[in-house]
Amino acid sequence: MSCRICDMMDAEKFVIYQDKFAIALLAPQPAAEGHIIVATRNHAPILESVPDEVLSHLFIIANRISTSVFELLKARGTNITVNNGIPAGQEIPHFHINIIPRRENDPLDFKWQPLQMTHEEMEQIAAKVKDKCDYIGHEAPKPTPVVLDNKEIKPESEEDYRMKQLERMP
Amino acid sequence: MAEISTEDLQKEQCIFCKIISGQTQSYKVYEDDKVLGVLDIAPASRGHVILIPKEHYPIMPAVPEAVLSHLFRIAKGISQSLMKSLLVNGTNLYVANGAGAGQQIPHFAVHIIPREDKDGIEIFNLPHYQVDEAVLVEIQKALSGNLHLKLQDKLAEQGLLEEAAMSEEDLIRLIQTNTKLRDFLYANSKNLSSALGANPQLKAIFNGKDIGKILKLVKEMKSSEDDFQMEAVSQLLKGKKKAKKPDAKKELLKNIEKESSVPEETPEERQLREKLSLKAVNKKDMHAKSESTGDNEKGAEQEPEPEKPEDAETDESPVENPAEPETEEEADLDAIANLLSGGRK
Repeated sequence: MSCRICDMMDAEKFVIYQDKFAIALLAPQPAAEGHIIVATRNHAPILESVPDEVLSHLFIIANRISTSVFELLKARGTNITVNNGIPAGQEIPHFHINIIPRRENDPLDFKWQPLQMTHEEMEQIAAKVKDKCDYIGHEAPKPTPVVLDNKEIKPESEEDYRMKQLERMP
Repeated sequence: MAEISTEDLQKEQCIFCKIISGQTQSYKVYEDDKVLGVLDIAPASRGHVILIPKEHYPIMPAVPEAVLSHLFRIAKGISQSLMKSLLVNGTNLYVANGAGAGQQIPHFAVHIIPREDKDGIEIFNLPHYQVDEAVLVEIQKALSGNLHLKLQDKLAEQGLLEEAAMSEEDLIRLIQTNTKLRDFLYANSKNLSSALGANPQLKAIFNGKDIGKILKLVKEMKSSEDDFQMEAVSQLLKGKKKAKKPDAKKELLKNIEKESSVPEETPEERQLREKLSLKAVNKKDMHAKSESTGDNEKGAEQEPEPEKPEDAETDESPVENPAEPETEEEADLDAIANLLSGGRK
């Protein structure tokens, strides 16, 4: 099963921009008129597998495309979304950014129902996430292995208990 | 009293700016000098992070690209940290540009939302509508024209932009100065189109030019080069028996005269030239004499030559002193050498 985006790239269907790292094409089954998909030229399945420079390049391209969409297609606003991972609704296993122009009274709605969370819960989560976020951009230091003292543990001489037994005998 | 601009008003009222400055409480998860990541207090899911630039920018197009690149790198890092710390397999990145897109706070923000299977969040599952290809083609046309202009610098960065067409004069000058290009053109004169097709850069340069005309020019340049055999002349001066034609010297002198008729001619050179044309006649006599004596031409040429090489070579240095010839022939050779160095300037 080959990747749909790679197929579209090869077929060069509805490509509106192309360069060494990125390609922008019109979504064949759009969520709104002017729905554009910006994807990496090289196949990368998820956000984590895209190199940093390529990722920033992709978002800069997406930014510029969204401004031209805004101007040329007379949109009231644009949404830029990434679905990363199957639980997030990623349907095509190839990293891509969706640029969706929004108009008045369109059937799309990105508003979510806010969860009610207590202060403690939030603190907990913040602590957990912050712990991992401290090392963004560089590797977390590996924990150094504990050095054991080289104390010689003298084994008890084997004869002891036998001797004890002998001594008990009358 | 200074008037407050709308932007400053916006900034004052902007809740994100208040969070950044510390006026409002927040749950910070990441901070550096350019961006700040906090937990959303109205989250879509547990661990919903909002990443904002510390400077106030209302929408994404307003953000400078350097900040944008940094911001999205950090977004990738936060997405990874969320997955690791909350043990989830998916995240959504979401940006709303403009109130029509659902932007609630006029300060650019990227939402990073951790997702789990069956968490009930359906908003990111985009609908798929069927549209006619004709509509898509129209949209493609509408966008393509403008986009290339906007993205030209990105393409240029990667060297993918077609260079502006070179004018014909520039191209001819380029060929004149660049011997490699000239040789290449000469070698591939028969199948130039296919040779150019192989090299896209050359193709771009030659695009729209009259190739036939250029090839003719190249041929002319090449043939004039061949006539003026630098090597043959220098070898003659050094005394090697490489001259094939008996009148090679004369022909060479003629060619030298032709080549040396440059506008910037010093009076000394002119004198020499006149002297040479007289000398040419004498040379003929000399040759005639040697032929009659029965020596072969090579021998005749050899005799006058061996004494000359050292002097000729020393005089070949760029110092022009035509005023000290020891023999007539030495003078001639000096003249040749000087003209050569003069003509080459």
